[in-house]
Amino acid sequence: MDKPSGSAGRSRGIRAGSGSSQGHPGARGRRPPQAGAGAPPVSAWGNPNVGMSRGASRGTPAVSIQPQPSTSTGSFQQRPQAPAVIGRAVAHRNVPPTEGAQGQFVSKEDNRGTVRGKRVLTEMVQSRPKNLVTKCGFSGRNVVAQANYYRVLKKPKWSIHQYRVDFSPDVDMVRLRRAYLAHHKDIFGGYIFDGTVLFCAVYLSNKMVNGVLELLTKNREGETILIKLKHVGIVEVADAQLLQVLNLILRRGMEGLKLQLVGRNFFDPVAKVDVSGFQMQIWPGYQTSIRQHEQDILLCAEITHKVMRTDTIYQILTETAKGKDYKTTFAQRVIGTVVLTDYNNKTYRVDDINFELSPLSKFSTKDGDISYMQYYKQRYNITIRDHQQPMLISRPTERNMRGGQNEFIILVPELCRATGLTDNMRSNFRLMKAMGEHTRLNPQRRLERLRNFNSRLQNSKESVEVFNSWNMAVDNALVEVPARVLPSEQILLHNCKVTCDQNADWTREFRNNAMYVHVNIKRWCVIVPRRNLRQVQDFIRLCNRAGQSMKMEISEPWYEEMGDDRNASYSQAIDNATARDPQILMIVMATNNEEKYSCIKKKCCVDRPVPSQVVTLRTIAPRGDRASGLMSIATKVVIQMNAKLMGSPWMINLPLRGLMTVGFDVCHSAKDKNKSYGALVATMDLTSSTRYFSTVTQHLKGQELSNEIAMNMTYALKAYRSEHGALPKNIVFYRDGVGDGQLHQVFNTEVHHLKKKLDEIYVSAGIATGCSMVFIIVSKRINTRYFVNKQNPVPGTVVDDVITLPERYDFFLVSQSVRQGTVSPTSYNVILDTMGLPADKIQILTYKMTHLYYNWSGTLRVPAVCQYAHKLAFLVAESIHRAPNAALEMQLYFL
Amino acid sequence: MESEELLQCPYDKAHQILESRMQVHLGRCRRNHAAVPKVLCPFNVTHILNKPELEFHVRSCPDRKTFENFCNIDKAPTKAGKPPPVPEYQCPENWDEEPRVNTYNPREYVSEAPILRSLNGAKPSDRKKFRQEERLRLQACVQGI
Repeated sequence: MDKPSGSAGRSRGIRAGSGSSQGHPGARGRRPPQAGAGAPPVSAWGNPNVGMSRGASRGTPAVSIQPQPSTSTGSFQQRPQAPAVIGRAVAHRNVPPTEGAQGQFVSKEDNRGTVRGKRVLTEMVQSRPKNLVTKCGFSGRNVVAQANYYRVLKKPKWSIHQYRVDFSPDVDMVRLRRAYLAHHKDIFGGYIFDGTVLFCAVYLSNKMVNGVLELLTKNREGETILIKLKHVGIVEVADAQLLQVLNLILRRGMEGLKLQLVGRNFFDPVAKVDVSGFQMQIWPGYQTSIRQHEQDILLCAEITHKVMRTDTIYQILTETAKGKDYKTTFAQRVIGTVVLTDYNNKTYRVDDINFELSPLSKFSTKDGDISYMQYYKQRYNITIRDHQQPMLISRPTERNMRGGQNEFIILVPELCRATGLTDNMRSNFRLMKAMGEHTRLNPQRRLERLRNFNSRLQNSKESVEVFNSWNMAVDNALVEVPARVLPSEQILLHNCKVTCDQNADWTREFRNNAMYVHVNIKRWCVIVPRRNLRQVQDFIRLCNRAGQSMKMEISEPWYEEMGDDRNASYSQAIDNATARDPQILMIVMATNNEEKYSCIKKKCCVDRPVPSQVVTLRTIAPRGDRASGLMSIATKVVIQMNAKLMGSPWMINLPLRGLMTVGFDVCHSAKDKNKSYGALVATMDLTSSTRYFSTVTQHLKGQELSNEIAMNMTYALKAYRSEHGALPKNIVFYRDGVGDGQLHQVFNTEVHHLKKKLDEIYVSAGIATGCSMVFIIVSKRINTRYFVNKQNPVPGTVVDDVITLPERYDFFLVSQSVRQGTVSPTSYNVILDTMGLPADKIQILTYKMTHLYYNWSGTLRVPAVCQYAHKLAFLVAESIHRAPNAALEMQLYFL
Repeated sequence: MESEELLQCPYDKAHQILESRMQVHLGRCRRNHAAVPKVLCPFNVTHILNKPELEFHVRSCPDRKTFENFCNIDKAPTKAGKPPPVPEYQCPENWDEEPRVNTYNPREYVSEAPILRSLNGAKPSDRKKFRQEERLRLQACVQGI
């Protein structure tokens, strides 16, 4: 494979009608036609030239109308300084024939923070364009990555007609609706029917009466069913709705693979794995979506897993029935769980149990009273075996009630499958490990699975039929993407600099190097239950030694001994200790007890604001072989205490002065669903201050977006001003935890007001240009994976082309290194930029920021400020449940 | 499950909005009432008021708590320590000196590239118009190349 010398392969923004200049054979950087590369991929655009037009890199006959001087590539916009390795990744098709599979860690059905659909980008920020602006960077070493995407090579070239289908009498089950419509499939040709909407290529106008086509069909019982089709629209090839149709076609194709739809994704019941000893199965599955990406329409395929419990509620009932007072036990185990009913594939929350009812009880319908037995037999053809079982009650949700359904939903235990992992299962190490083995796929296995998926899709008869009838084709090799590995960062310690290794980890450097800035601990107190005093004193000596090797002075603490370890004793001890004004408290807990921890943190963060370090006896007590590991624990504790006291364990090279980086994250309390807290953490120019500003506000129940973000930022600016006497020159805001569907919301509720407020402040401070700020949305839960040489990409691997989205200024970055499974990249989406840094610098800056989390001497998957914000929001939501005392707001007390 | 409170939209009395949907609603409603002179409460952007009411509201806003908290650091029972001095250091690079560039504007690329776009969240008439324009644009793209 030759290396194109320039970037002709990547130039974008061809103007309609003026494309003639690009295709000139002499154009700089043009790749010679590659005979060996196989046929050029047929574009998804109908016109085979368009798909590859961006670079005009292949010698296609359609290009080069006017001969132009070979330097004339400049007549259209080019992405400057593109990595030299690659044009459109197509060109690499013949290098390593990697395809594959990627992965995900245990896939959980957790839709927190995501909203489906509706990516409204119409008001999408930004104002200026002009000359050679690109979202691609150039720093670092160029590599080629394979991403879990396939090109859609062909798509339907004709208009598609859309019909609304109604049945009379109404038919509920989608399967039946489909079956009835299929009786008439001859008149449609290729068609897709999802139960209500029918897409097909023929216009049935001549058969219609008053715009409605009526068809008759008979069901098994011989009753006649009327099917009404109403023409509602046309999807043209140029409509974005075509993507929806493509997705539907793909799903139809996937049905041909004998996959089963669970929720929104397809799972493979044939390849299921039983987890031995537990009534549990793991179903491997695929999450797919077809979307318009930077240049092409791509199919994203991701391997997921579904944990299915095979036990029904009835089984739990029989288990509990053996014991005494089975009603209470059963209720305890079942109430609050979510159950899945196979007959309609829906989930319900069990709110109560009615022991009076049984499947023989009757309820009224519009056709008269009917027993549950009969109902299930008639409607779903299910025979209920136990006629004596009690019935489960599910309260309709708010949403159901708004939809007019306000009666209790009665469920039959026998037909309800338990879902989710119980605490019992979660704490079962053996089970979790066994599950991890199946769900945590390393890159090779993941690639293998993806390859498998693709070959099934390309070869199974039914799916090929579907694709052919719609003239659709999917590439069989993974998309190859130009990627770059950003240069390793240097970690600054007190007197030396170390360069990060491959795994971006520098834990070892603290064995005998001083920290960047340290605070000597002169007055401090250890709170300890009396009987553990000896062990703790040993540990303190170790801390002392660890401090010495880092040139940090730690004096002997005073010990506040407690006779017992009740909550009240801790409270009392903290009161006594803070009276002597210590720098920091170390509090020893005998066991890990959430309630106690919560009590301690409330005391230390709200009532008596003082930095505190809680340790459990288990971690600090020597246990047999662990004696040697204690020193590293002591080192970590010392580093953490230093960070809490406004020391700075390490630094990175930061080429911007007066920079404030801000992180914002929201935590929804797991225990108390009504409480959500948003935390904001801001740096105060790391080059000249080790302080961090932090603040927490409570959100409405479950609300992800903050109403108070502008106010919080003004506090942060005020703090910055009192620290440095001036406003920050630049602000980089990292917003974590918002999903795709909320982008527009974030812009409306947060960015818009934030920008206005900050500009106001800057203008009143005499800076007429307003605030220079970048607002970046950080998303961790994405389906994109990429690989380099069939391995996980090393930390610092950036992808900013091909698989990115055209309407966004975005990039993917792998900043963390993982030992198991497949690394998942983080997506960064710049939705506001008035700072004027080139894309390359924003990427580098973001990577730098992932190095600064002081609880972990390595890189993180998000910028450190985001992690700090998450840590703080989590602490408040889980433990202290109220705003911490403002006296602590300038330090990392929550670490 | 207690039912949520319905609030009145500041722009239109007829809009009774669930508390949790207020943010979303305001995003839309603000667009339709862009000309209405309203002011924002500094503590919470969903509090939108008429100018004369602002002063009273600011005094009694339930979200004033954090502000008071912020202002009263000095009254805390303990004082935060002083941060240690930070060593002067010279970063080998200096981005401050480098010229500022224009930021990347995806809309510009998108308006020229042969890709499918949709206009979500707009009025139906706008969407229809947009679709027509897109068809022409893409046709031009296809033919021009």
